[in-house]
Amino acid sequence: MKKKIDNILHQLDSYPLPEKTKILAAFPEVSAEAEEPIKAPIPVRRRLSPAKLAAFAMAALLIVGGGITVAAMEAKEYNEAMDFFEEYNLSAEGFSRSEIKKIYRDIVSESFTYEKTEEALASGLVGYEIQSKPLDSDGLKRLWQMGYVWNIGDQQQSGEEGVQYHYSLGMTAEKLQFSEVVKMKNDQRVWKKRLDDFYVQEVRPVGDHVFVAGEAYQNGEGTRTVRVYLLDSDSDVVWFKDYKSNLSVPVVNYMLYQKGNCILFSASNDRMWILTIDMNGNYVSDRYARYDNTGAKITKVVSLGDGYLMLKGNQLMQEKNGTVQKMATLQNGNEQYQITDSVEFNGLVYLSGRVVPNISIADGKDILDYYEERFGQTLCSTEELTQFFKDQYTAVLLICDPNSGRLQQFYTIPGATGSNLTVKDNKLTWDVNRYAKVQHICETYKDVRIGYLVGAGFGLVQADVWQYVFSPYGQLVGEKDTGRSVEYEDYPS
Amino acid sequence: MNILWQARIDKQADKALCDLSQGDMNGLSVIYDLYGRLILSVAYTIVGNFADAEDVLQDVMLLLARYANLYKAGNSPRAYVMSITRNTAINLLKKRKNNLSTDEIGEVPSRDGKLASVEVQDLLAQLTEEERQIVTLHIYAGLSHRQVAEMLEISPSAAEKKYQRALKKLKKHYES
Repeated sequence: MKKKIDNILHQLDSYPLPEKTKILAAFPEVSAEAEEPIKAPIPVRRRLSPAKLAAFAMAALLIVGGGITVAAMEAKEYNEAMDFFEEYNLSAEGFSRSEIKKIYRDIVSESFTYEKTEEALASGLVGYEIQSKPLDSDGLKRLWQMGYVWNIGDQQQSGEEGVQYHYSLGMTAEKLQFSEVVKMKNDQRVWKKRLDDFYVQEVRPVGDHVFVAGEAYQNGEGTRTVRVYLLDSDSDVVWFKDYKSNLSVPVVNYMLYQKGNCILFSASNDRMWILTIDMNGNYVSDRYARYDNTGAKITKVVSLGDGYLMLKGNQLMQEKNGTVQKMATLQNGNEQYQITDSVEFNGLVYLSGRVVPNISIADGKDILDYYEERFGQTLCSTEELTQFFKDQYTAVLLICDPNSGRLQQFYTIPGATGSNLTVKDNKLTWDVNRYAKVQHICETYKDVRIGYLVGAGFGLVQADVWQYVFSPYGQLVGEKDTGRSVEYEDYPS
Repeated sequence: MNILWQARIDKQADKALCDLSQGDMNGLSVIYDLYGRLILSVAYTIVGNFADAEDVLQDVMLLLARYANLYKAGNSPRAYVMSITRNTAINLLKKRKNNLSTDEIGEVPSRDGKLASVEVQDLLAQLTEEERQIVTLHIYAGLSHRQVAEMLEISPSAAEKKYQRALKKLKKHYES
């Protein structure tokens, strides 16, 4: 009952706290010396010139680190704030001293009203594929408590409503004894599973099952062997298997569940091992990639063409042809990164775009030429062509700091292209064309064997227009099918 | 609230109040950051609308600045600030009630549309004015029964009994 009352009373927290300058207006000496007031930026829709747009895109992809403005104020409090940031693994990068202190106060007082707090908390959680599970809209407080405060290791959100998995290590006398995985539902523990001689590094829920990956241990010592468990809904071990790599010390950074397979991304100092297994733990494929494993851990991976788009700290990386590197150009081999719209909203720059095959329509090439390059044939059915198209095209929404160009968050939608961005009623709407059908021309004109152009005017590629709505802090808050349908445009006007 | 967080906030607030008592007005700014939300919400549960609660918040900041020298370092800054908040809110409520008819006294007052969620209003409506304060100060503000008792000038056991009675009342309400 006490908890219920507490929860209800904390609904009072949603009412905005008046601006400090207004409340303390009677104290000019405070106003004069106090830190700058928090201003709500006025949303402005701005179309950028192509050059500026490209510069933004480049800046976003280059991931330029933002400088920290140093303000010499209350060093002691600043140090406390920094200790706090360190304690909870919050990134202070890109925040001024003043902002760090404000974020610190905002969190410890559980106010969660300062606009930068969300940015700080989201720094470790960026990158969402919309069709999986977007950031929960329950709010910043929940995010903070689930993501940072529960001091039982890391956590992984499940596709199941209200379910999270947490994991932690059991260490004694400097030796690892066991790992524990805890399933929580609506803040209540469902089960806890102890896994002996195992160093848990990642979990990935799939339906009501969960993959658990890490390093196998013996007598408290690592074996340098990756071990994967599949646990069922009752925490029973369905199977566990060990996988030996050529890496010196493989650490599982990320697990991606895709098309019935689990893909593990493990890294040592200079290489990444990408291992694909099926739901029964059977080896499907693996490969190695050159990789500079310094700095942050990979926090998000999405499939992109033959390779993967990865978010490593604040850096957008691409794994392709055995190399993981920063995305530094707008054109990379067979892929192009096209920005289709941009808008400034609540102090952030949003870039709508798409990752598409590098096909030059001007040279008379089309998606089928690309298909031919890949599969050595030009003819395929509408169904195959639709799937191929969906595999090659990805809509992206990049949310960047306007000054440093630093990417703060991104969203992706496979099989789609990002279109217009609109700001209205303090919300941002992102139009996305989700491709439903790519008509093969031979099914329209039976005798035609050439000229399978995909482009404006041909009317062969139909997409459903969806709208995704974002809060001023870049959180996805809604989605809807507009019921409209559009044709593919090679490059939006 | 997590007890460690609360202690961390209170430690900072203690320093800010001490700074304020020595004339450093930036202490007030820090107090606002730390307790502004708490003052506003607790004031709301007493005065019943956010417009008045904002007035209380402003008055509390004025009073803290004016009587900063009354605060003794090492005491509970939370209880100190909550005590000023409660008194200020009650004074404002009395002023408002003087302008209401006899029938309206005792109801949760509302001056304009700035109200909390229906759930919050429903919860507060189940309790007497005193019970509202006891429940809010203990559960939401994190004060001990002893601190609540001192504030309401009743014994700690009476504060706890009244608190338990309020909880039973709410339990019955939610079960029905």
